Amino acid sequence: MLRNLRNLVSIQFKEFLREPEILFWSLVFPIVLSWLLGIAIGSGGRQMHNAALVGPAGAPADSDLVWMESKTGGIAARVDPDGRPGVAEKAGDGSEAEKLQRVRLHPLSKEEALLALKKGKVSLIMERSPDGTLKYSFDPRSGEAEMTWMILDRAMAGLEIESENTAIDVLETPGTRYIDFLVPGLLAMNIMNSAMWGVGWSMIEIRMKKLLRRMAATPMNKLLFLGSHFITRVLVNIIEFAALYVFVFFYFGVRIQGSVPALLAVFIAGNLAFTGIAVMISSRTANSRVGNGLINAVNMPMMLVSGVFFSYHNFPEWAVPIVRKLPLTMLADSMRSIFNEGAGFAQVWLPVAVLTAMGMVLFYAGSRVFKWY
Amino acid sequence: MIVVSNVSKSFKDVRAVQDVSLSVAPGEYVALLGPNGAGKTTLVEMIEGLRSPDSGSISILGRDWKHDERHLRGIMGISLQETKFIDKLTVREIMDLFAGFYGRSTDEMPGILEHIGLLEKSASYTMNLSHGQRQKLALGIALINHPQILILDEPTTGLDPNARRELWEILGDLKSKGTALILTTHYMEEAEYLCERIIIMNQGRILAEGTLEELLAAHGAMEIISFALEGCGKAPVDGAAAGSTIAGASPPPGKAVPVCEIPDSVARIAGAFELVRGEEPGSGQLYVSDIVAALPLFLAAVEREKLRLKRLECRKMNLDDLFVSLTGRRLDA
Repeated sequence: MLRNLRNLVSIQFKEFLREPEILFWSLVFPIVLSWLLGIAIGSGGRQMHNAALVGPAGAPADSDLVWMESKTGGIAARVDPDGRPGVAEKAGDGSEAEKLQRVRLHPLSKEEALLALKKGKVSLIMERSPDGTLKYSFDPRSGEAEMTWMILDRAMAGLEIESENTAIDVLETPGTRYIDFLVPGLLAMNIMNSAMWGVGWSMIEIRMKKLLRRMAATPMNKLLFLGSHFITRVLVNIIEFAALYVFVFFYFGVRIQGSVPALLAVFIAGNLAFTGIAVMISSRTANSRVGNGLINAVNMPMMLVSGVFFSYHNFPEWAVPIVRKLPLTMLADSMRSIFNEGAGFAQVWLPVAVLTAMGMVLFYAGSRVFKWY
Repeated sequence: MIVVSNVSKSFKDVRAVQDVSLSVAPGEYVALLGPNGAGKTTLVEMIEGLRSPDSGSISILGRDWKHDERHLRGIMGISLQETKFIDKLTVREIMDLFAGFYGRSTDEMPGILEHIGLLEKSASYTMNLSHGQRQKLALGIALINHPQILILDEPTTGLDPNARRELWEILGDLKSKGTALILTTHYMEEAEYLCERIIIMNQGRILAEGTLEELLAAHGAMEIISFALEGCGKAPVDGAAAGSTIAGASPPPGKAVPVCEIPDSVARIAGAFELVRGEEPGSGQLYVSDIVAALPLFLAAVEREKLRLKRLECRKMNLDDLFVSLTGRRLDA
């Protein structure tokens, strides 16, 4: 039993190490991606930007905005009377192109604003000091933050605030930069891709080769066979995790600020969830194109919407609750909160439980409908 | 040892196996002979427990697949029609993996690899093996658990004659160990060479079974006059190979093929059982009880009809001929 498990894990591990393409995509590619996006990210250009607005005493700043509005006559920034987020528009000629540049302002306290920034809810904090100056805090390496700043700065020019009265605070504290946002997302995406291709695809492939059928025609324990894939994935993903983390640790100074045991729990739960999905997806098909399509159908949408590269708060409000329920979002958000907000078990137990349960249910269901012959 | 009773299996609109019964004794070598699509693979896969029959029952050493799957898997060695391995695993690693599944020590693996002639390939990736070596590896895996029953599905299909012979020799050696073998093949020589009992299948049914001699004796005609008439056009080269014309059937309309009808008088000579017309126009095989007696009559009949022979061959009937006389199809068609 134990020997079989060891053998199975060992052959799967060798398969992984002996395929240069797999090594490239799982080890080198994420590093290149983090470098590209962390350093060279260009213009954002999305329609809706988000910024936090903090008042003089570090409290949510609705009164300030009322003041701004009355001073210009035209609408530069506004907060609804019931305190909902308002919109700042560039005070210009009102052409279509300029109208598209909108920043949604969230009145928040100083602490709330910092948390929102770490979560990617807002990309910039605009703060009004008691002496009347405006302070922008953001990571200039993030195209999104820079764009938001430019729009706000030009909008505020319409409010006749002297340029010497504005200050820029470059955020360099680990946890508040774009790279800090990006890395946990990449690690989460890596777990997903690794499970989907490493487990899902490899099962479809050995079924196609009729090797699965041959293995199933031995006294091999089938649950052990499926379970071995989970263990292999955890081991492979630890290597991938470590490779990327070591790189960003030294190159960008990214740090795990929260609980490492909690991170491990999140990591295992994520592996379980995506191995479960992979087993389910690969349970029937022996066709490479079908398999490819199925895997992409799961991976692609989540890669785009689950907040790996940019915050899902940029999506319409109705979509956000749906996006938050996706497994990759749960995994990425949990890892992000541990990396950047110093979260521990208390903050991540729910997603860990949901991911674990999801993985186990799908794993079991997949094993029941699994086509061996 | 193996008892298959009234087993049937259908896929969508194909009745792959229809009401088949057979039994195999311990140590017996049995060949399932038949063309592609005869239902051989479906039948052996049911015996191997990889498919379940729609009706009928299969019992192996008194056990069945529903209740004793693990036990049966442990005493059976199988090789599927085609198995590919993980490309970048070595021969030895694959053997060791399967040794684990069967609970065998990996120390035994070099011995098996030597037996099947793959020892020097132990460290080669399976992707670098030839087709014949891959088939040997599949056989090696089938031998890991020293099976009481060995079921090989077309183990030599696509192999060159040398590689085929090597495999035959390995299988011949096993006979002394008392292993029972079920082998599917569409090579008549393979069935003749390896197996004491031959079961001929076509279209999901068993047509005949017995030893080679029994089969030939039971089906009457023992000798064959094979001939072709002069002056008849050749059959279209591609058409003849692909669409094996059933004896006596007229060629499809619209094809300008000169047909030389062989007169019935030729087939009605004394001692003749059956005339099977060949694919080539004007060619045929006459099944007779005794060539020595029938040949002069045949030649006289040809002369009477004012025909001329282009080719003439007399021989004893073999399995292939038997198959043609049973089904009108050739085994390798």
